[in-house]
Amino acid sequence: MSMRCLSIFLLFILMPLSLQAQALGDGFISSDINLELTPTHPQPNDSFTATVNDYSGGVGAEINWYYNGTQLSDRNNARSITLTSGDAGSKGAVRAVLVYQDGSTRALVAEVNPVYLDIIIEPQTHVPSFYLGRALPSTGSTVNATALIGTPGLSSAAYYYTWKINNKVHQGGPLRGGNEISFVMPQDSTSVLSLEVTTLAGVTVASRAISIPSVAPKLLFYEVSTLYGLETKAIASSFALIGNSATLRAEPYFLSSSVFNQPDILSWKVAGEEIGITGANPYEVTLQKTGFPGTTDIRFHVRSTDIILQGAEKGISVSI
Amino acid sequence: MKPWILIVGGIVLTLLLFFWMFLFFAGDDAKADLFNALNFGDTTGEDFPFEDIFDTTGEEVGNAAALRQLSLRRVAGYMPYAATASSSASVYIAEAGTGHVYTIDPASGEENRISNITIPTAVRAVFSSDKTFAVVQSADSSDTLMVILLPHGSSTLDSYSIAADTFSFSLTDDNVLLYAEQSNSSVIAYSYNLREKTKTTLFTLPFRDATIVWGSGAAATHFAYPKTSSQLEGYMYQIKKGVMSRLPISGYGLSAIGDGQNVLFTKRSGDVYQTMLYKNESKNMTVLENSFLPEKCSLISGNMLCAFSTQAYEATSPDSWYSGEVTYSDELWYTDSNGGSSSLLIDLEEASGRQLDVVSLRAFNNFSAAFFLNKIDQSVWIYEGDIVGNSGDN
Repeated sequence: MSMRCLSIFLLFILMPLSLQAQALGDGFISSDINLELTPTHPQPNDSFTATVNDYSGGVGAEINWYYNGTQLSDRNNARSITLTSGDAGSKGAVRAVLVYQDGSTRALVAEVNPVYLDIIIEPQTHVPSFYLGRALPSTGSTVNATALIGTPGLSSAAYYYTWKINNKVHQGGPLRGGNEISFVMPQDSTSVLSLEVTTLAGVTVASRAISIPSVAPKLLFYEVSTLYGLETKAIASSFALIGNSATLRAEPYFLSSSVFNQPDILSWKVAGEEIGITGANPYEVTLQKTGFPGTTDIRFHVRSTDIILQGAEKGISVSI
Repeated sequence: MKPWILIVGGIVLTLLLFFWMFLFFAGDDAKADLFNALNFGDTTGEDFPFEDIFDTTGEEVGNAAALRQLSLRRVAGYMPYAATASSSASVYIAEAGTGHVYTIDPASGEENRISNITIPTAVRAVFSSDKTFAVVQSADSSDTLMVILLPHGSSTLDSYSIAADTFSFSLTDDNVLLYAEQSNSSVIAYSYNLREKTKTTLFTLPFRDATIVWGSGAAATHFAYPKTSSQLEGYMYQIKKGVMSRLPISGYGLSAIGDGQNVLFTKRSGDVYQTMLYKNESKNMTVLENSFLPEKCSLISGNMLCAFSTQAYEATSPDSWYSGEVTYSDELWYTDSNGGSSSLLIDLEEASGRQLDVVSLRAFNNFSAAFFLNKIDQSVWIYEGDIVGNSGDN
């Protein structure tokens, strides 16, 4: 029994040594030497860095660099060089040739096949209809992300898409044809959305990571004209009631669309007193000139009681 | 004691008595009965909106100047035209709020209404170059597009509605309306021949929040990009014969205009904004000296006329300009397609005495004149200085 245990023990100890000796025998190169691209899949016409990482503990080697077959003589012996990728769809390669003192060589090759991988972020938050810009995400709001990969003639179904939100894999794994996802914005001020696109054979075609900001909803007030509709100039901090009446609208920028449509709290206050909502649009209030000239405060509050940070409150002064 | 002192004193006391009674009796119940009434109890506020009180909307600048306001009306859209190649410009305008169409003779200031079809809350309008059609968008719940048949040798007026939920549209020289509608996760672009009343699908964009830069015709090259945001990345696409392909243009805060062959775009580069001209055929990229907002530019064959504010763009630009929190006071600049150097033509505020925040800028007749709207009050303006000849003189 003891001999048998000793045999098994020796087998486990000696087998890895034997395999390692085979690897080192091949030009003294081990997997501790590699050529790394940063980013790993450059976009077209983008700069990237190629680095020879050598953790083998050897005596070192002369390094000769080649890019798309052309030797880069002025970069000889540099551990790391910066290059520019080609046009979309082009095929390229970076080659680092290591020449050892005994004359043996080792070539490390990394392919550079740049393709566009665009990730379009479409937050499902509120902005007024005249706003020409894109809405921004806020904590707890839904965000739609669409990946467009620039390979003509191939549909999204030809790839697997592995999405990660803050390094957590979305839906547990790669999604075939899953170039569109929806997710709820985490509470962090910035989240990292990363994507790796692979062919059906498992070859990585492109990968990217982008940061997505999470902003707090903000309130702006606008005057609503019967004739012209919603004015496009925001009321800064005070509003002058020139005529007998005026209608103001509160626009809660970047408030989750679901909260905007069904808020738990929605209130208008005039001089600290809550007033009832009388019009068809709860985000609008009609002011009528009564009493004596002066100023007062108008305050609007909209909020979800379920989703933290989904709300906004602001006031302006009104002069008569 | 003199009687007038007694009379004045009595009036003051009576007013004070009424005011005290109002404050005493007008309690919560009374307030609740008022229709969103204001309780102007606090009169200690020092903020007074002088800008709003002394709004100079409608003030006309003298006709003798190269820069002048053409109409007191708020304008939803305009089109300059010349009756003959040698004649001076006239202008069609559609009035904001009503959709009524007028012609204006810039020389005399004479204004004639040629369409009295009322389109409530008209917000945007375009015209066909042969002056046959106007397409007006109403800011009603469905953003309906109304096509107005303008008098064309007859006094007959007609109109019909063709599309709802349209967020972008343009009218070509051959009377084809190009417009786009949003679906759940995409944008579908159509062309609609106004004479033949036939509709064709042009292309589909696989995202929803899109800005479309329309080409000169249905078959021309169009450009599209995700709506601008200073904090989100945008990417530029061109659409040729219904096929979308990527251009080497991307970045945060990306906004752009195009003239079919060239793309003028601005994006954030670190903490500053940078404007570049991309020539589609040569794939050549030129960095411009000034940072222009493309929405304030007119691009023709790579030459560009831009409104520019010396006010530095903030990190949140142009978002804060879109939302109306920030307004600019602009100058006009001309940049030719070769050098990339820009020349100041005129400081608009200095010339007019008004803050002019330029939008819908159009160079007319090979830059012989320029027209634009002031975003602040939607007034329409003309600048008749020698744009190309004077560039570099300032």
